Amino acid sequence: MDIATTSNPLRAGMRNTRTVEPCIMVIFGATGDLTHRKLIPALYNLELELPLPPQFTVVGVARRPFTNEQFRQQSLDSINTYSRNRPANPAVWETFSKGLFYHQSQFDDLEGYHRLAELLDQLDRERGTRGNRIYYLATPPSFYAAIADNLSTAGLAHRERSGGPDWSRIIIEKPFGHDLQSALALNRELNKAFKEKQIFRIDHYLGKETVQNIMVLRFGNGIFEPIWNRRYVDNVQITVAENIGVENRGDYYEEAGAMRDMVQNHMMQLLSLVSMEPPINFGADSVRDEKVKVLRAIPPLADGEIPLDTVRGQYGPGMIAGEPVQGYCYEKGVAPNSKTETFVALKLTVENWRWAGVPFYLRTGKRLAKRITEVAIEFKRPPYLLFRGTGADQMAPNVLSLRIQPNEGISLLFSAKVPGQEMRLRTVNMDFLYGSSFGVEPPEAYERLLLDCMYGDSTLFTRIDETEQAWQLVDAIERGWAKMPASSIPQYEPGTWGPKEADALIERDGRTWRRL
Amino acid sequence: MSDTQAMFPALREVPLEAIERELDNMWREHNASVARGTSQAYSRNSVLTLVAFTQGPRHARQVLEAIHSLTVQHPSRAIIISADPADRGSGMRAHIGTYVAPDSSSYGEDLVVEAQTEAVRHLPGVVLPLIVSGLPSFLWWLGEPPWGSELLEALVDGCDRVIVDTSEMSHVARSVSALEDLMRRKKTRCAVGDISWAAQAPWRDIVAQFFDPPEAQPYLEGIERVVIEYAAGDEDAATNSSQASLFAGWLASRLGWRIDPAQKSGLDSSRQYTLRSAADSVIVLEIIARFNVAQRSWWEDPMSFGADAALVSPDGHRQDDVAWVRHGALMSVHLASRLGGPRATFAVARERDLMHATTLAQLPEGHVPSKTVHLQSVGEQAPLTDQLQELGHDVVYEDALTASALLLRSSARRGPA
Repeated sequence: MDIATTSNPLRAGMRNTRTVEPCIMVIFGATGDLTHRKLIPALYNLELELPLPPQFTVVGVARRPFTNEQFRQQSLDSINTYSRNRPANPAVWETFSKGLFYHQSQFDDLEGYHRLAELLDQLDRERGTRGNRIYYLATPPSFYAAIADNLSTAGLAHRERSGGPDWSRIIIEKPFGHDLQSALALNRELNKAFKEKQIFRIDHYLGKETVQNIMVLRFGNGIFEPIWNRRYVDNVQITVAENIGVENRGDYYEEAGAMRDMVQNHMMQLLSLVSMEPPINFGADSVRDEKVKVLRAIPPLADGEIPLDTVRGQYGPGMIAGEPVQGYCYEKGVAPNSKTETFVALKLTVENWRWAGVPFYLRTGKRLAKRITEVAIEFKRPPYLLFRGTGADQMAPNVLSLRIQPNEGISLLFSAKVPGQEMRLRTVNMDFLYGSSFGVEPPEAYERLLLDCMYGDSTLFTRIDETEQAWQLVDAIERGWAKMPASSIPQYEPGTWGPKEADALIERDGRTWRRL
Repeated sequence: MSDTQAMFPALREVPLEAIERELDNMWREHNASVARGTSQAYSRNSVLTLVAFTQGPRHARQVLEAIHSLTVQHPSRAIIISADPADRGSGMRAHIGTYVAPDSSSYGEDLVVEAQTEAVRHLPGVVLPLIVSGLPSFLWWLGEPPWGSELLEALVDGCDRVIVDTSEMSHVARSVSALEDLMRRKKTRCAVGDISWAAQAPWRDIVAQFFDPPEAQPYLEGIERVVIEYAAGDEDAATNSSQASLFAGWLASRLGWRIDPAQKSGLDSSRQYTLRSAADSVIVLEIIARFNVAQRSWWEDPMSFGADAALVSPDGHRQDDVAWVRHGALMSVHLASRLGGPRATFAVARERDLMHATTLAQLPEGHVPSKTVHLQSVGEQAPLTDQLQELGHDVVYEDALTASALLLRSSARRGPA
């Protein structure tokens, strides 16, 4: 898809050389939590700081019988509660709110889509939005196919309407299916209405500044890439740990588990960004081609490897910060005898020239010791220990860790001499904190991603073949697990780093998880 | 010498030759207190060195506070030169300290170098070795620089970027011309920036946005009249049209308009120019003062500190009851264009609260919704921040400066602007 670059000579040299074309964003699920907490605050922040074109319009679609005024009031509440620029600036809100409209409809009611089409045409005439549409499906995934189908039937999903300049795009949230087959089926349904280049699959991890910075660190510096390979790297550890439980998402989590909730999307994104080859440019397809290539180089685990190279676990009852917490099976919406995993540890390999023989250890879980997301590149030790008897043999290996959250930053562990007459070595930490060097509050991930969709730039969105490839890896493990006895899901104590079997997984290779 | 220690109670005086060593000591002391558990750990990160030249300790203190407000985003080594022209003598003193931004782990280093008049010429030898190696270095000159002086030349040569504020200069035409000359001469060593240019970024954004839709772009070629209003005080007081001239220079340079300096008429505060478009059609440009608008110089008024949304307050809220703008701030821009048929107009005007601007565009093709934007929030938090983020040459600014100098040169022939 062409990115909206401009021929406007007044844009030359400006920070925003790309321009947002006038358009209408139609949000399905407009009264839901995602719209309330993320989407409306993100759009307001863009309006305040960018700003968006004056024609920009939002139409909220949901089942509740809201009026335009009620939707505007809900939006104002969203901004005042969740925007990083809260409270709303009255003067800016005054004109922004005039572009907010509400349309009541059931998601499966075709008549509602015909009425929506009339409203959108009317807004095109009144606000100059030129037929450009972004459909944001902030609904449960079970509605995705029906909404896409109805949009198509109502003539709202124009692929490229009679050669005209207008466009339509659709944004869907993860999960993109619950396995490969369902992902393909969902995609077939979406493709009946939209071409792949019109589909923007959001994984909000990719909107995070620090995730994007992985590419900048690797390809914007000269010192890292030469050692970013099997010759120097011993192993890579990716940790996405949460200290909370499933909260109110028990119903969803029962279907997903940690594997589908985290590994298939966020962790695969991190893995591919860390291990991919340099793209030929920063274009959407160039970057995503490389991500897909590296995912293809990861062989799905065979049945025989799964008991050795995967560990799953489920948090039991216990204490966190001195407070008792219930076990997963006692959470709301969770079956008392649930076998859903809340913890996963994996060992994967990337079988290509760069990474042959370098294990990638992944772990994620809920109710772990702390909330932290980190990618750690552990380097090989020096080939010869020159400083024997100085503590050098006890030194930690060099580790470059990329902290995604919290305390976003980069640190490097290396050895240094302890000051004094004797030769003693200590491991020291060279820390770079984003908060220290760039204290400005970064934009929310959703702001970046919504803006990119308005530009038509899909670099930070997941392409279907990425999704497919990730599902192939996950499905192979899920199939293997299905053949294993339920007793293979150990419980772990809340506030720890997961079941001891996860330690065994990595210790078998003579390594340990990083102490975070 | 003045009582600098009283002005900077958080700083301590150190010998000139020991500045770097004392800064290291302060860092070690801090680390020791971290090790004892009596202090929070901070990172000694720097992203730049900022050298600010001020006219004495009062301004130096204000500048230091301004830099502290930026520390959260630009942890830096700040070297503030305090050179009071009334302070006769040949002495020079240094004071150092550290600063940690509230709610942040950013750690900045403050150096104040106080120089009496006879010592000012020796400043480069003291200041330039203190610039952090390998990081961008900025020279921020408050007030009118001594154009052509050895001091200015040496400091400019030692930095990557020099920042001035033409809206704070008393002789705009002369200053803009001198700035343009400096820019041309130093092109290979140092880039030039202007806080006035950064302050008007929201206006450029808004006007550019008028012409983003493809149906509006042809009207750029049909522009026949441009009216730019700028803020002025009393009718008998001096005006500063630098922002308006710079804005006109930006339009002219981006759109390929030819400026004939002779084609000018009107008063110095309100002038009319005749320009030629790339297609040789006539464009009438009017630069008009709007009098009786409250204006302030943030650094001349201690009470205004933190209230000047345009420079130091990231949220842009006024902290007093009086609305005011920077000297010569843009008040409205109006463009009229015709492509053979009915006229299209594009206008943006500052609201009565002076903090917002509202757009109005009327095209023969149809209605464009108007919108209100918060002027301080658009693009950058503050003009100085904006300037500190610019590392290389801003070619668009340099083109606009050249065009602006051309416009102002015609005024210069007929008296002060």
